Amino acid sequence: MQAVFIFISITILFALYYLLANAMKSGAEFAKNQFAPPKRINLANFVYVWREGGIGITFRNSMIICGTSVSISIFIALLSGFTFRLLKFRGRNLLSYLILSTMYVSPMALILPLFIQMGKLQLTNTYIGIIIIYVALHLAFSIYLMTTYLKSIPIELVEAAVIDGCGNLGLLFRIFIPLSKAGIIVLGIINFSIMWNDLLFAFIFLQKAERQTIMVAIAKFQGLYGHANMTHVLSALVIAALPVIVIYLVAQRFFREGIMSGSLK
Amino acid sequence: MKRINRNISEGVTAYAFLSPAILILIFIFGYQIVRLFWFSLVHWQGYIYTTQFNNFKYFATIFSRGYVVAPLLRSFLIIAIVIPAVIFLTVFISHHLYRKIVGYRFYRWLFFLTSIIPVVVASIIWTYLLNLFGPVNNLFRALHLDFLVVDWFGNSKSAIFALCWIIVWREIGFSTIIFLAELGNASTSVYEAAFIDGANEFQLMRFITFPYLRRIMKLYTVTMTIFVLNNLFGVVLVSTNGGPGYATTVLEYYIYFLTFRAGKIGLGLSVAVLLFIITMVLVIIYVRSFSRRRGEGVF
Repeated sequence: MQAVFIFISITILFALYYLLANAMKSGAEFAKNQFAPPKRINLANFVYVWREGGIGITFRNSMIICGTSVSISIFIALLSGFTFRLLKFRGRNLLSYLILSTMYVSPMALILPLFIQMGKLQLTNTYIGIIIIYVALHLAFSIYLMTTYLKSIPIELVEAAVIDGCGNLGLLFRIFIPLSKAGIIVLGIINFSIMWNDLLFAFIFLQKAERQTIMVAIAKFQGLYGHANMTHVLSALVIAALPVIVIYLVAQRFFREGIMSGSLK
Repeated sequence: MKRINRNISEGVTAYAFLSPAILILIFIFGYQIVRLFWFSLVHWQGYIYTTQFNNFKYFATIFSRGYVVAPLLRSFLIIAIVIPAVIFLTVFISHHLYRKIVGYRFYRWLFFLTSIIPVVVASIIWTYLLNLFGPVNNLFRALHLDFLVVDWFGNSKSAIFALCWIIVWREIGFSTIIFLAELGNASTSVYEAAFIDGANEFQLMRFITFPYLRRIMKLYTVTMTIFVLNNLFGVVLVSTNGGPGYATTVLEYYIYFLTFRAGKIGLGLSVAVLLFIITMVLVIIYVRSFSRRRGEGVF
């Protein structure tokens, strides 16, 4: 039994060790021995890819794109979640199915129509274009997660507020948003890491170097120099993985909660 | 009368609140799906579309020349390997984590880490590890298992299996969390009773855990099929670029290849329509078999 667990653990730990150890080696040191730990903690590679390799700029792009998309998707998800939680209206069920079904549309099937559309609106190679796409892609999931979360707010609280003369906007901003902070954090974390990891849309819609996200830059860098410059690629990988891993280490509980409530439909 | 008025105003508020979501979803999904179908029916000249009906020329080409068969089979091969492997491993892992084997907290934490690591990062690390002169092959050489020394991603026979390995490796953490959550509904007293009756760990897994997980396994099979059909672009692009030759050009990657590399827009669009329809059929199966109560919305 333990053998299986130990085997899987070794593949994970070794992959991480290989990544970290070799990211700090010079080319010559790496060529000599891939297995040994680096002789000293050497951050030269990181500095090099950050400045010369242009990873710094792409890191900033990724942060701007993901940060904005996450905030917008949280805001829209709150509005919609509130509506589905509290208001009665015609077409509610049909609409909920339609929204959820967008989660399963194949992204690759839409890529060409979208590409032509964005080209027409001159939104390729811009932050706005990719942000609109990211928000839309993850909106169904966000609304679903937010609605599930808002269900935990007791209806008595809402009734009390309504009796005190609270309108819909008041309910949303005074009752729902303050009480769903945990939900907002979960949604933010999950959306951020999904968007951060995306390659397909960033790869197609951001072809100019100064707008690229970090994943695109690495995929292209690997394609160009892959096996000639492995230590530099590896140190760029460390930088790319860092934000999501830090989030995981800090907010593990939120992560698991979100995945559990989000994926068990 | 007052009540009717209230209902109407509530409806107006509801749609006002939903309008940002509805507008953005119609723009990115609804409208583009219509355009996908329309585009697939007109003549293409390079990257420029005309308004001339193409008599299903492109659809006929991808089927009659058999262009689409190999990518489709590759997608199905990956599905046929990855899904049983993931489900089998996940049942095994989540059973033992649930039974709290030594170090279960650590394993739970570590396994989920693989799902957090970005696709691009995981794929590149594994292409290095499985390189002909990489650590894994060095290990095989040292153990004198020379028949296992393969340039995993560089060999057209093994590349697809190497790809499957990355997918399984990344997926396990995620599926374990879901299966464990489902096992949380199981009652520990059943396990205890069976244990007292002399059942060994394998029997516990086979006769208690397995039935408990049956629902989630079905559900997971469908969602995972949809996922594997539609979300392999990152892995394929970074690790093999669809190669060697076309050995790892799965259906999804084939659309990208036709559209953006080969410049055959018409053909790319017909494959896209095909993928869209296959996915929708799976979604319908999914909704039909798993919607809990009919007539009640999902939210």
